[in-house]
Amino acid sequence: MKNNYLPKEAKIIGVIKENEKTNTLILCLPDQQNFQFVPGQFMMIGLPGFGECAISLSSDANLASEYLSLTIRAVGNLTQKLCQMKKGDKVFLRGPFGNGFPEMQGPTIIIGGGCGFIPLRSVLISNQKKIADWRVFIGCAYSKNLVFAADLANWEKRAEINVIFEKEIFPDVCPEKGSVLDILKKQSFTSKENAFICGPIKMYAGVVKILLQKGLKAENIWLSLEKRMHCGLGVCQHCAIGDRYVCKDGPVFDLRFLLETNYIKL
Amino acid sequence: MNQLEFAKFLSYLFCSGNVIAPTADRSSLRVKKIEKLAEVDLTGALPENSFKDFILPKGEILFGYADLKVDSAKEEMQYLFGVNILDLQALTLFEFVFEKDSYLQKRRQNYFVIGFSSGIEDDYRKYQVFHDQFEDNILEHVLFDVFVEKQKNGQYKFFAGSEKGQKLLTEAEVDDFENIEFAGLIKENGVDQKILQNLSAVENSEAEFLWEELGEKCLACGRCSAICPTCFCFNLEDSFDEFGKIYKKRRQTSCFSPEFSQINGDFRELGSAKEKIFFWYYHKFVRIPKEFNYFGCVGCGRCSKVCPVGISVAENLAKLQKLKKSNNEK
Repeated sequence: MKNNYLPKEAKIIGVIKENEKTNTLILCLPDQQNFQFVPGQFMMIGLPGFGECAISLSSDANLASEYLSLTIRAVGNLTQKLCQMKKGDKVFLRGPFGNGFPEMQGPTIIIGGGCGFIPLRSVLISNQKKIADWRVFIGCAYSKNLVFAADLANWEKRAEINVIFEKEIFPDVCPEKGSVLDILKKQSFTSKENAFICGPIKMYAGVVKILLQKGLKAENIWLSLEKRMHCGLGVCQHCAIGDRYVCKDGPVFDLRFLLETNYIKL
Repeated sequence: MNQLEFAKFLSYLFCSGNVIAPTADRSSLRVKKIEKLAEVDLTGALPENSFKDFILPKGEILFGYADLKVDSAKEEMQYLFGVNILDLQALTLFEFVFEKDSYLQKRRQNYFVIGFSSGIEDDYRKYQVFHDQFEDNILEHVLFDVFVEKQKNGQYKFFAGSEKGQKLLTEAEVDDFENIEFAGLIKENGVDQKILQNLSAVENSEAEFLWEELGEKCLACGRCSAICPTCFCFNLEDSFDEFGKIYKKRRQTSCFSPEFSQINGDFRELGSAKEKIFFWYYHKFVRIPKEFNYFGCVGCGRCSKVCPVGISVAENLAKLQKLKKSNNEK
């Protein structure tokens, strides 16, 4: 019987500093050639003595057999330690876990709040050839909190990228202060569009309200949730939501389920 | 089988492994490892604790980080004897919940579940449970190795519920036993009505004022979940031994504990007692029944007995059912 709790030792083959508190670890598993994932899925990453936590995959799923990357914000003991790690260091990984964002037809709206953009980076980079009619909306408190700045510049050539800062103005690119809600309010959408959303939970109700008002269908709106997780298998109960588990059935759910369970109240 | 032969069977268990059974411990009845046959309680009364901690220990080492190896030492043979029908249902649930857990499945090979009923009428009075579970075919819907029923005439009737149980009885020279084949969790006439009634009463009740009242009253001490035979929440944690070696450990926890839902440093999704107690009821009466079509609460009433502020699950379920009924009538 497979031991689902046993991690694999992975080597850090590169570190990218995304911002003051956030690093991307580029990792290689001993059997990386067999590794596959769907954007939106997550890994359990751990260090001996510091425990484990769930982190979304941020890399290109098409290159999963070569490497994977996890983008980590230093907020607790484990993540602070992970953000100090260097090329050549080892970490322990389990996964991938859960269900990622679905394959959707038609134009897609990507909405990320702060660090919530991490799994959405994987969606964008894994679908680079399809993003011509996609629109990306990113909200952050300060420009120093932005992640994947280099990618954004690159994607700007292919898709529509909108960035807004709550507390900063850049006259050429972000002439107004505000939240992602403020830029969404000014947009028009159609019922054929899909939305992939990831960010702090307090952002969700507001975003969803706007999207529904502007014509999107609830079944085409997909949101990624963040919960404390231990087992990753839908047993330990930490990440239970309604009658499902974020680790096993999520972390990406369609809006209908989140409304039914009152997890998002409009 | 008469009393002497029954005692012979018990002696066989003591000779060939550890016996975990209910025993009188000062003024209470507790399940623990016992050394002598005379210590086994055969009244059929509900012990204070359940057999849970022997299946899912409060803390267990899963592997060491140094070599990522699992301890392969064979655990001693254990006989969980005197498991009453309610605790048998709880252990049955565990078998399904931990079906893919290599640690519990390995442990399962090294223990026998031996149910015991001291006579249905007596049992029912002593259990003081809030719903009657004693249907004729109950043994077909629980997992066990051996079941012993004390009959009204003082004789003991043996049942084998698994091949392992049949082998044990043969080795213990019990020739006269009936084989019971597990017929699945769901009974012939469908999912238990009690399960469905409780599910519908709890599922959409979050807005009810009752949860406010319970939130005011509940201390979130977690004694209910610690004593509950079907509570199995756990943490995976790192721990150090005296030589500084680091291990991955599984530790029982409670959804009432402050850090249960903590993320990003200090954000707690289950922050208030109201949110915690609703989460707990939802697990018992909605999530488990939907996942397994089975009881998430076996109705033993232990939680109510240990609750320092006297919260009774039975009373609250009755209130929720009444509320559901009156809401339907509106």
